[in-house]
Amino acid sequence: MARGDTPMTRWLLNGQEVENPTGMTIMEAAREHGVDIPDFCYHPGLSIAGNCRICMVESNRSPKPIIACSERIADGLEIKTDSDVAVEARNSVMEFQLINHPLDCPVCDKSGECILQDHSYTHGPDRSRFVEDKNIRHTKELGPTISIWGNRCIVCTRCVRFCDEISGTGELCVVERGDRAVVDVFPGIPIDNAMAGNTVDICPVGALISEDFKFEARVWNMDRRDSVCGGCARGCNIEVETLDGYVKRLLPRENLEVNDWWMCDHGRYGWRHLYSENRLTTARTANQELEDDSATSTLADFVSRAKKVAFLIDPFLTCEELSLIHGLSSSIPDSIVGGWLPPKGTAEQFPSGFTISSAKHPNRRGAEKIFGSKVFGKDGKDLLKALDSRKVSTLIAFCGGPAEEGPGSSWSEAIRKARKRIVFSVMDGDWLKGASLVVPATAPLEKEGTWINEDGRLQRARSCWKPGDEPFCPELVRLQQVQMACEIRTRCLSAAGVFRELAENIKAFSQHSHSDLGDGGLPLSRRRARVDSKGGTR
Amino acid sequence: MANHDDASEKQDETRTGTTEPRKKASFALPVIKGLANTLAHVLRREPNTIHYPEEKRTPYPGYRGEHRLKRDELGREKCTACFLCATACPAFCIEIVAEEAPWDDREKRPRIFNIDMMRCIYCGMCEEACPCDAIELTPIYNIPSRTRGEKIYDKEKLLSL
Amino acid sequence: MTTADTIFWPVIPALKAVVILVVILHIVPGLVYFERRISAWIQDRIGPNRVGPVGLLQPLADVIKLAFKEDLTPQGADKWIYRMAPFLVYAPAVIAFSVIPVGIDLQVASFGVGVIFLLTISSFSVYGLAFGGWASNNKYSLLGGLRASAQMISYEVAMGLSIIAILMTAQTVDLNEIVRQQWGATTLGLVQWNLFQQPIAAVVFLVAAFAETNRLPFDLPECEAELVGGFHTEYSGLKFATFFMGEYIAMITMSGLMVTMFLGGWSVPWIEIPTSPTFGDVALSVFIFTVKLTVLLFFYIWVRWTLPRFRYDQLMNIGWKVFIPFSLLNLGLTATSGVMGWNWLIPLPW
Repeated sequence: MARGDTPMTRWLLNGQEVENPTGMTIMEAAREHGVDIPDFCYHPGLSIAGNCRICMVESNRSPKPIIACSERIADGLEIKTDSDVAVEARNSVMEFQLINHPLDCPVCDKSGECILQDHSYTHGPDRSRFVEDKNIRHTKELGPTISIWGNRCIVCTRCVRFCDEISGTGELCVVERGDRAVVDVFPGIPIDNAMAGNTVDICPVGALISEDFKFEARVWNMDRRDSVCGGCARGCNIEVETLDGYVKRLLPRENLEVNDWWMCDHGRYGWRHLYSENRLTTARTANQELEDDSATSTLADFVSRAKKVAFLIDPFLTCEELSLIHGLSSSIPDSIVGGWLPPKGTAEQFPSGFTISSAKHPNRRGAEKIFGSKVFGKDGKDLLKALDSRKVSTLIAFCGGPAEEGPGSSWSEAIRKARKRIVFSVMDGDWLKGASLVVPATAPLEKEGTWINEDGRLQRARSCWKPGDEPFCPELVRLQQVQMACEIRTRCLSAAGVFRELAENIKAFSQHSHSDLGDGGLPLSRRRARVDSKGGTR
Repeated sequence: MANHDDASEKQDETRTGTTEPRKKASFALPVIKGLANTLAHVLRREPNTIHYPEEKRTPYPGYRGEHRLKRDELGREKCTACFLCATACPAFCIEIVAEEAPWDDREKRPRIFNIDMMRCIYCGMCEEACPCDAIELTPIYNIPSRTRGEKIYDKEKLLSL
Repeated sequence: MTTADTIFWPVIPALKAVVILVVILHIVPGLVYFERRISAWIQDRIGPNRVGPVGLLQPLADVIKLAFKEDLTPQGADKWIYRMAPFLVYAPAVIAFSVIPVGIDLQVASFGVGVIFLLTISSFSVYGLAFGGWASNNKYSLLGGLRASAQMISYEVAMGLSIIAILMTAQTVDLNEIVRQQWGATTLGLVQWNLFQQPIAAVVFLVAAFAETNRLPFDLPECEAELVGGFHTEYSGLKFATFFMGEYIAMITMSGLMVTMFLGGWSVPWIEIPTSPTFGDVALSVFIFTVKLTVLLFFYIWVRWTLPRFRYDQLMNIGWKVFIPFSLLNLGLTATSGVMGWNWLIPLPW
């Protein structure tokens, strides 16, 4: 950060003199120096409420401890986070929070990632002095995807502030007072905005529960992989959580350049088609099912014998896969490449600046960088015309979208006019009938590679598959095997290796490599990103 | 000099421990002692073993045999599918799939609860971990089966034990 | 000699031979059962008790099991020697027993040179072990055979020297004669057994007998507890059973020799041997021999389940550096006392 011209404040943190930009809160400043102050209601993406009081620290300017999340640093301020006063204050707050909190951890879906659990473990007393009956508050559905388990609520109001400030819809409020206070919706107005799922993520306890994930898995049993959402051209950074190689839920990942701390519900719940019964998992020819290996050899056979091949690409393919298609198409003379686009959806813009793109595909920019900016426009139209006039003998089509009807009726009919057609498809559908070869394709979340979002940011997606336990060969490998069979490649590379070739071949990518991209990705036009501050938590 | 003696003694000790014959080995007395000992056993005739299938030994309290799932006073399984036993299990032999419970007083119950008894090491960690006192290790130690599949106990089997 | 005697002279010894052979062969399973029961008692177990009354048919079950085992011949084995080896162990033990008197002048073959014959024949069994190890085409078997032959040859020396001391005092090699010298009482009232007359020779003979029969604590040829089975690693089924039986018969033969040489044989202690024995006297003498033999066999088993195995270097040290010098010393003492008439040195029987 450029600190030279920012006014700085010198203050004492646990007896040590430190310096931070003026105007910072004590909590943020202390975290910069590696001193962790516990929080419940504080969230870097939300306004400061200061109602949980767990962040109390001892100050020299106040007879009583003050809350670190809302007080700002000042010259000469002396803060102690681990003095007797501060520890006593924290322990008391913790005991107070736990008075009405039920011991639901064994059945609570939050347990394992629960902030209350963590703080109770670190700060609180290990038993309660409370002998009266615990309060009972309502358990009910707040909306189609979210329900509240009121007993667990600690009224931090993170979710209420989220709906007010981030999604701007304001469905949630706190009803009742004192120890009966609990989060609720207004009668007849369920919480159903497109960002509602985030309230479950930011809930520090298990009060807000996603119906989608309820009782599905315990969080500590799942594997997490940093990836990118393929639901729209926004490319929100996400964490994919899997159990035994099956996706169980998606969580947003902090990236201040793209999605802040949030993701939309379309993306969050948009993975169910991966395990639908119409998912295509085995290859087949027009009359029989094929083993995975023989699908590759059959495909290689088709490609090597074809005189003239047309490629129909889609905007779900990663840059690496596109690079391999590019390699194939340029090795076959007279091949033509066109692309199809899924129909536009609705775009949404939220008050916080979070946007949902109308383009429901992740990598149009990448395809245009590799095949030229006309690939989805004029080239696509040319290919459609060529197909309609039956000039295409062999067609290799890709359909990575979640729609069962494939690339839409006009394209489906045109594809049917090719004499030999090879289709890579995620979903099985009627439009695939009569294809010479149908190959199962990886969907977003299963792909290993990079996408370029609508802002031109190159980001890495990682596969949710368990390594060594893949249900079928991903295109990244299959296309390389085809290239090896056509003798334009000597060995099979990883996604990073293919990207290196891409960087050598296409100038737009020449500045980048997988290792440079890091977790947050980079704009295609710029080599080095500034390091994102890691101050915030979910 | 004393040091030197110590050193040589030490060397002797290490040597006798390995391949060299021991210096002051005398077999006679130990042999006679041993013979007297075994003869005493022959004359005493107090076997520690039993005729197994006819006679059965009662396991000691705390013996860890096969698992069972407990029921509450209404006859429902106590288990709430919290996965803590599966988490504590060092052999990864417990498989649970949760579902929503149909009862008012409880939210969650196991739809599938399998224990692979062939993989289980009978350490009792699941019993320790259980917050609901729903799983316990019984003193049952002799349930043989003809196939490995039979040793994967499902919820019904565990509840019936 | 009458005509009948001339015609039938082979019949009586042949009959005796058959009877002795059958008896010995039936002692072996009994001994196996006996050993299993005693080992169980020593280890506070119950022991075999399922097959037949109190497990008496257990040896039969063992035999049936062994008979139905696959009879293996290893690839590359020297087939004839491989097949012959078990019998080279088994046969000498049986033949050697033929000279041991089991009752008053009751033996299969009455040589004047009984002891010499016995030593000669029993030495043959080392060929069986060495051949078995060599013919199996297995380096572990070969090593086992080498261990066995080295051990047996070493202890034969000590055993021979200890017997010579007895022969010197007895001044005969006829086993019946040696027995006849052992019934009376000494001045101290003890029976005149060579065990008391020649204690050093007795101990050396006893230990050497353990080593000769490959019993614990000297079962290094086999070491089945921790090494592979020694010379009979590659043997299975009835060939293995033959080795096994040879070992047990050797044990009986050695015990019989020990009884005859040191424990007064078939003679009843303190009771004079009748010059013209009746049938009752013979039966009593056979009974006495059997009792003594049983006690000694029990001792064999008792030692086996008590003592751990010696190391090979310890075995060789005891053999060459303890027993051979001691038995030589004993020989010297015996000779000296015999020549000088020093009855106080070694209380000679006369």
